[in-house]
Amino acid sequence: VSFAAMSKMQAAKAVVAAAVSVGTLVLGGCTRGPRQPVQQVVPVYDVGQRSLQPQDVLAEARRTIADRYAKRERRMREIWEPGSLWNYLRVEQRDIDRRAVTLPTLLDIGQELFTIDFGTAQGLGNGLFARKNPIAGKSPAPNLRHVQGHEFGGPDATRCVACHHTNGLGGAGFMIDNTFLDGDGEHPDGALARNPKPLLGAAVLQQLAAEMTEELRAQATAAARSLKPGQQQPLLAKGVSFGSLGMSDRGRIDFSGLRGVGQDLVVRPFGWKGTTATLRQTIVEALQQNLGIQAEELLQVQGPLRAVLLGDGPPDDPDADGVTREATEGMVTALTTFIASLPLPVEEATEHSTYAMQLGRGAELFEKIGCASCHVPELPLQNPVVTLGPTVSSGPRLDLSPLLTPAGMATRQKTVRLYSDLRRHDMGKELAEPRNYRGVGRSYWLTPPLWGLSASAPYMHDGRAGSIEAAILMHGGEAEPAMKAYNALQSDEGAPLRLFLQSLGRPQKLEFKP
Amino acid sequence: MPLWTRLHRRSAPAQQLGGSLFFSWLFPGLFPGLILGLLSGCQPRGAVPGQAASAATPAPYSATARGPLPTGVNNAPGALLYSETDLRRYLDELMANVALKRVERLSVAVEPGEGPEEAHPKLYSPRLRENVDPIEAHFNAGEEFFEAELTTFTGYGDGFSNRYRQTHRVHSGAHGGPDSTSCRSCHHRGGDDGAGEYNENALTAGDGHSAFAAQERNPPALGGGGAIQILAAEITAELRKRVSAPYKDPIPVNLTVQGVDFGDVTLFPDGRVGTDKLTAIDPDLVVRPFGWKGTHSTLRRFAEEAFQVHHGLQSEALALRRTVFGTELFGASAATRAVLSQQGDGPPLDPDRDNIINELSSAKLQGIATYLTLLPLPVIDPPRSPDLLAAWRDGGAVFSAVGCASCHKPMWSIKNPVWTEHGDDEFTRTPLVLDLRKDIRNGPPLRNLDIVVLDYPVFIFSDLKRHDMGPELADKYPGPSAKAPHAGDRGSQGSAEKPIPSSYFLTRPLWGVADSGPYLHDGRALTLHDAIVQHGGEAQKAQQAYLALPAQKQRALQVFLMSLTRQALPEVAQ
Repeated sequence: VSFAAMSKMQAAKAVVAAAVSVGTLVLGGCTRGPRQPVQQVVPVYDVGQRSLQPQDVLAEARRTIADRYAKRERRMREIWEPGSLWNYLRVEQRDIDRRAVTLPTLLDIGQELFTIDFGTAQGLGNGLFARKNPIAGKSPAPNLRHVQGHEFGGPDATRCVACHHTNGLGGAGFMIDNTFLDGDGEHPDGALARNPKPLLGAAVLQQLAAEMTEELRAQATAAARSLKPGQQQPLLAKGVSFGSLGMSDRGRIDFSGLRGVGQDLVVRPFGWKGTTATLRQTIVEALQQNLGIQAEELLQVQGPLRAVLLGDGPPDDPDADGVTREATEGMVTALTTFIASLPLPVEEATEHSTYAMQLGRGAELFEKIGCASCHVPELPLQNPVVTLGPTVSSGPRLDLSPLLTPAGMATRQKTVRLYSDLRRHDMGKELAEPRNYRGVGRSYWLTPPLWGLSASAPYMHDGRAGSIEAAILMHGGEAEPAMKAYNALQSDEGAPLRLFLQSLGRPQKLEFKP
Repeated sequence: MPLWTRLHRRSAPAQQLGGSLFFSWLFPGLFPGLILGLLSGCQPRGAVPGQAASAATPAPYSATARGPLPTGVNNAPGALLYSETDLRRYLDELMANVALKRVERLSVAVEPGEGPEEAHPKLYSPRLRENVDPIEAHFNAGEEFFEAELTTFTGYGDGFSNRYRQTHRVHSGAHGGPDSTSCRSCHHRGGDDGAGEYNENALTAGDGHSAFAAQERNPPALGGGGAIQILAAEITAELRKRVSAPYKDPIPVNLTVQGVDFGDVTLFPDGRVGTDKLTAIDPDLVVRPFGWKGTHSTLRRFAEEAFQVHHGLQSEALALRRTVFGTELFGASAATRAVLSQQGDGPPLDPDRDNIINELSSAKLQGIATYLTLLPLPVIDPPRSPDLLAAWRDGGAVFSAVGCASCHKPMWSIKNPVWTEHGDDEFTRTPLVLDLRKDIRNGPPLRNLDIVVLDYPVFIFSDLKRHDMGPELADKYPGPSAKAPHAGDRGSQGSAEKPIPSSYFLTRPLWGVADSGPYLHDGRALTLHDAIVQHGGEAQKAQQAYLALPAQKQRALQVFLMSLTRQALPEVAQ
């Protein structure tokens, strides 16, 4: 690796955050043609049922077995008639937009794309070694490696579900599934370890964050007009404080009072440090960094960053592996739609009388000792309709209400019980990393939503906590008072709280693990 | 006459044709016993007229269709994969298990330390209250232990570094990482106890820092290990018998068992065994079927090493033995001795200096070994669509014709499918007798529906030998090897220890191969085609024969390999 190239990468890293937010704006700002009609989301799991019901297990098993044989046969046929499956999976956005691809089909494609291994024929990895590009490191195509090289990435996996599998599709990952971001391609110790996050409820998070962004920006616009030099105005979104905006004596907006959000006031609910605003953008980045699959829309990145983020190959194949259009816009849409259709986590009730009595007390304790000040139990959701396509005018537009409607209810919940304020906090020295990531400070982390907590062990950004209790005790910085309050409890006093946290699970079903 | 000899006499024509009994199954006219199996309903559903799906739309087993569940091949061709009753029983147990685990999770939350990581066959736990059968208790304790997140309180990691949880993605020599916090975190692909993903490769024998200085190992699937363990022990016993007879003059002896040539040794009158020419197995004539290079003969010792290198959980039995015998433990495999020598320099009972003793007791190992021994066997489950089924049949023939079957020996016979699990200390003195005919959990037991052959056929697709796989596949470093034995185990012969050459690997059993990608020891092959093409060394001829085939034949072979899979029983992720 030449010194010049290294310093170029260092410089590039600082700008990546900006590039990402530009991407977000492009996604959100561009309109062409009439908008797509709203469709009701088709949940991947039966959300009405919420969790495994023993009475119809045999029927459920038969359905699952039939599905297993169908999918297995499909993969066998891909070998026998190459292309039979992949041509089906390589869905085009224009077919989705003119609704030649129905929502159930799109979901099926998305689920298959989530679980199937990408191979070199599909563009897995990169061929940059042949071009003597330093970001590729020492290995020829597909250049699989366990530590990512700077912002370019790995590839370090062959399929999505390789890391998002605990407790079912789209779950979290184990400690061994940690990805090593922003490294040198060889040494895990120098990289930033990240435990794979669970993906359930991602579209709801995106929509909540978008509404908060809108709220913050409206307040900022108003503040820019009305504030007099020296004045300050608090910023609030959905009741969560994001610090304040001020007006300097020279008549400029002063961002120094902002807390937990960047100066662009975009609330980003994805990534351990809150670095991505939309599910789609998260998927596009993961495809690049974890699989070396370059999405069509990623190739729009231009300028000096392009070679560092994507490789210096030909214009239509920057990673120089000889495969162009590795992920079409439609494929990204299918993946996004599938993840958006995963069920929301659930709060398990228990028939066990001893435990049932303690659950309510645990929820009270959660508020009382201060957990709830950052892990805000519920946030209101105004508009449950999300656009998942590459532009606001493309499909599908999904109404997420079915995910938010509890069993036996006619209307959706007005609030989302996610246990997060979707902002960043200083978590103290112990959890800090050696360096900033994408412009976010070393010790700053997004409050991870606690829904589905018991199904997403191990905990903390690098999976260092094996149990919920260990995770609580590792909280520092802004969370230190709450941690100390928990630590001051006797073991049996803390039991209801742990029980309550343990009840935050996810729906289960009979399935064939991928 | 030993049963396996009888077996081979019967199948002589098949042997001439394809080199294995497996061939006779594809051409059933050659083997009377198996025809009966085929006639008695082993036809895959897709082949039944009237129910056959069209070639264009693969219509698999339909949920609405009545009748028996899909058939296929378990351990014997023609055996039902599972019956309706099997499925109901399986689901009942599954649901009970799910409910128990739910209560267990809550009880752990209330009282930390009462959790699964305390799983111990002799200790109280919510699940054990319901079980009195020792095998059931050990299996369940093993399962809990397999699924538990391991924490520093029970010995995870070591005291050598000040890092929290001391996790190192890259191993330091035979001491290991630790690199993962539970067994299941690397064994889940394709289902519980399955294989591992590429990103879950262990980076073994490294310097603790560089991913490129380490040897990558892709986690293998675990189902069927019990049968392989028994088979290897039976072969070892047979080999030992061959070299135990007294001779007057030095005499060459060929070690061929069930048609597999394990090499030649020379017997000397003074009891020495000349093993210089032996490369397929260790000089101590022990068949070691576990580990990519064939380094362990039992699941117990294999798990013991895994706990050390992946979790930093140190075996109490090994630590104790080390205090008495040092690191040169007699009778131990080279891999176990390597673990012993790298346990650490701490006090005798806490070599890794983490202030936890008794990290991995004999009783826990007993549970884990029982669990691993009783996991269900993979099956041969042919496709349903008629065109794929035809391709599958074709592929089976290709498998033998191009020479895959000469190392990936499709079938072995087990005489007595019973494994006795002995403990390492007085608390686990009572051995557990595990009978694969009735004790296998979560799936059908080992069956033999063949009325002619009395042995139990297992379709593992491996000769359990080591082969030179060529320089392309070679490791960075050679592997550990055992010392040569004295004839009949009468003390050490003292021959120089020679390591397993870096290009030598054990023939990977192919059963369950469909669910265990990526392939080869480091997961470098992402498709079955790549895996075949990357074979070198002794497999070069077969590889070239494969490459010379027309594309249709190559694909047919891969379709056949895709039928080597787990039985289709759904699970609940938790």
